[in-house]
Amino acid sequence: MTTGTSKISPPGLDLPSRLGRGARLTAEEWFWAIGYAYALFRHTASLLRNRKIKSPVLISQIYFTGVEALPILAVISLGIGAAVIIQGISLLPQFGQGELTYKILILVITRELGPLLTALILAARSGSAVTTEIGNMVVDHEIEAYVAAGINPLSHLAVPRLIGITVSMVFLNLYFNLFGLFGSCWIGSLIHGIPLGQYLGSLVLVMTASDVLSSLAKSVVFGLILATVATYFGFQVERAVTEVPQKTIQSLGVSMTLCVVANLVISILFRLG
Amino acid sequence: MKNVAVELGGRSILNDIDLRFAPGEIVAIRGHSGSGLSVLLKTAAGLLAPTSGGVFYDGHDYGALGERETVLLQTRTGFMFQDAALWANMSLAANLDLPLQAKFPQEGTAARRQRVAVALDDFGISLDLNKRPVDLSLGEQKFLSFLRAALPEPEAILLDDPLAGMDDRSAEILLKHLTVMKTRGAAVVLGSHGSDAAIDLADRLVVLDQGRILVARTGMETR
Repeated sequence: MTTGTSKISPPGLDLPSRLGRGARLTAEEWFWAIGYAYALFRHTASLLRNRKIKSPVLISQIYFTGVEALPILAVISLGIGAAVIIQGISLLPQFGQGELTYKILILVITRELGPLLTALILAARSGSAVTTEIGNMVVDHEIEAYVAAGINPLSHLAVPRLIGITVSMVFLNLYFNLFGLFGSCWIGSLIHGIPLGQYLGSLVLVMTASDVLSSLAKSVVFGLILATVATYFGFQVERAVTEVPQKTIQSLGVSMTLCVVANLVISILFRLG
Repeated sequence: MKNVAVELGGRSILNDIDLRFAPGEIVAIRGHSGSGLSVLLKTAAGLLAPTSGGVFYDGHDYGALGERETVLLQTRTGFMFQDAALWANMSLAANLDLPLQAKFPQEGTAARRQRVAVALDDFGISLDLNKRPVDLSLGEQKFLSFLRAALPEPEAILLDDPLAGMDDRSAEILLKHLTVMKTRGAAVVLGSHGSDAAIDLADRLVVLDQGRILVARTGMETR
């Protein structure tokens, strides 16, 4: 029962205003996120110019992101490379297109799945870890302690992670490519008896500079996205420890989505160019 | 602090705060839990921005400073957190060294290590600096948090409930050192939730209740 002065709106009537408020909040969040990314890149450029990167943080980030991810990446890249070569060699020669196997392998491993899968794995492993770590530091007042000591948390925490994750992403992508391409060669020779020389020769013949550059560009962009998003959401935690898993999930979702979109954009740019 | 008000999460925490801390003076601020004491100390230290009013340090308005100037100004003050807030993923040595790096960027590692060694010697403390904060009790963590704030020789030091959870010997060393800092001309601001020895040390007592200053007394009146 409502009184005559009730302010309860009929269902659906306040929907436009709620949508408007939601859109405004989302726009505000994006505004802050872009501002954060700008500040982070500016700090990174400044610290790189002055050679003032905190090397212990950078080294531990490269170790955690790069070195510790090697086994899982090896298995995945080998598995995908092998699957492509097995399917390609079984199917394509039936249509007289056996040579396309190598092109498809490069398209899948080098241009598309290599950088993207590496990024998704890093988002799940390192991105979420970085968000959790920074989020917990906020809750435990460790970030305030940096500020109180006259240390910029962005320079000390975010910049080494940005560089560490981006460098790791580039090398892990290279590693994924090597394992995917050469591992598939090994599987191909085991199952189909393809000679190693013929396989490598065919790969080199169909691989172009554009394939390599596209893969490299993607790995750099994905690394920057992963680190920026992960640190941003870590710093977004305000007070409660319960916010940490929420921000980690958000961080994972946003970084994966941005990587997929960036992958598409870079692929289109390289196709056009 | 001039006419400072702070709101957090839509809730008013501090109102009409007018306070001044002078060099060579110990000011105790007493307030029960939830009185806004920690927020007041953090606002005074420039760690929280006031919703209205201004916080000034040596004539500089924290609200009007750029990022770099704020960081530089922070190296001139020290802050001891209520829950220690040590950097958990670093050794104790790194916890003490980092603020020294920020304050004395021209000093080498050896000189900074020397500063830490001399300070520990002065305090009569033996500490395995390779340990991590998690290896220490809360009291020990709080003492290390004090050391972290005090080692860079700040012009002003703010301490949030420093003696809670601390053993008698550490508390005695801390209070003794605060007196030394005072005689060297530092402004010392002690926040306390109870009536402890820290308040006896003060030249001035401020009582905070529900985010407002209830009483401000000189040291003689307090005693």
